[in-house]
Amino acid sequence: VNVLVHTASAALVARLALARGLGVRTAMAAGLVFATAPALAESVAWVAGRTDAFLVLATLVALLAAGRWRMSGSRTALAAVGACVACALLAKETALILPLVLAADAADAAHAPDAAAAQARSTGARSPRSRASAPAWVALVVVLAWAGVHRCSSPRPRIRPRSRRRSVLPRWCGRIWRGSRPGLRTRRSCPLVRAGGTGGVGGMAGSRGDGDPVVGARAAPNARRTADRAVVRAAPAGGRGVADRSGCSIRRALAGLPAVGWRWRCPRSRFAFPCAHVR
Amino acid sequence: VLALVVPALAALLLYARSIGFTFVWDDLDLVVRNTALHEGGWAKLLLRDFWESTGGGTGMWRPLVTLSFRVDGVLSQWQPWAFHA
Repeated sequence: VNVLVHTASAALVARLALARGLGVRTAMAAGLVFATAPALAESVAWVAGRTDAFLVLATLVALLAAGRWRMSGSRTALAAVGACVACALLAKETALILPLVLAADAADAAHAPDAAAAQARSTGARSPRSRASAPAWVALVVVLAWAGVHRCSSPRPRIRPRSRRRSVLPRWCGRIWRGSRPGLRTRRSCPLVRAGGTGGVGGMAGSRGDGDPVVGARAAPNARRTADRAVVRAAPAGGRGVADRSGCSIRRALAGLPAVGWRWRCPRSRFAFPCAHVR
Repeated sequence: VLALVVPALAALLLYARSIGFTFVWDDLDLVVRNTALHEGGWAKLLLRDFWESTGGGTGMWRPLVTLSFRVDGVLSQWQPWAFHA
């Protein structure tokens, strides 16, 4: 099926070029470029790449149907646009951009009317500009409907993302943000130090916590205790403390900043604190 | 007509060799080892996560592609040439 779909798409590219008023040679060249583009080899020769082939085919048919709609105002053509957008969405999620594609196509047709629009004007039909955007709106409705169905009925992913948000800063430089409470942990209360530090925390829990300012001094006490337990569980005995490793002179220099409302967050843990060595 | 036939023939000739290819990479999980594709009911099949057969769902829902896999397999007795062609 992959080869047949790609063959049909190559022909449709040429057909679309002809519908846009291009010459036969130009349309043929456009079709040949599409047919022989190396970037499409994976989508055609690989069975699992069929999603892209289906998406392209549905998109091309939707564009042709949109042109037919501009030419004749046929509601069948408009329904075909909606059906093609639905098929594209059911083949690959990238079809979410189809309303934008159809809107750009409508704008292009409005500024440089294609053969279909010119014919519509010559036959005295309704203004092509007034209805040019209808396919884009239909596509948007289909996309919103698909999003609702997808959200309600599709299976949820089993793989939980490792991090909700990632810091834009390198791990070693830590993070500063404005805090509301000036209280600092003491060295004895620091779970990392108490657990003997960790290399694993830096790799796992630390990566989960990077950039998450919620879990920290501002977080609810329960959440912070949960974070503490997680870190302690993950910490291998005898390792070197992350807090100690990151307790550089900069951190010590920043120790006085809580007085002005700034806080320092341990860069490789999932909760915010300046560990006791700050003081 | 020539403007349509020439690109179509070019695409057909260029990728005709791939019809003789076998399943590779994710094809094995999506088609060959996908028990739901071979045995499950249609409704359940079309509501499944697309990558669930690979061991972990991703939230991607592509029932049209899944449907085409089953149709190809049923019509061709799960021969790879039908999937490629």
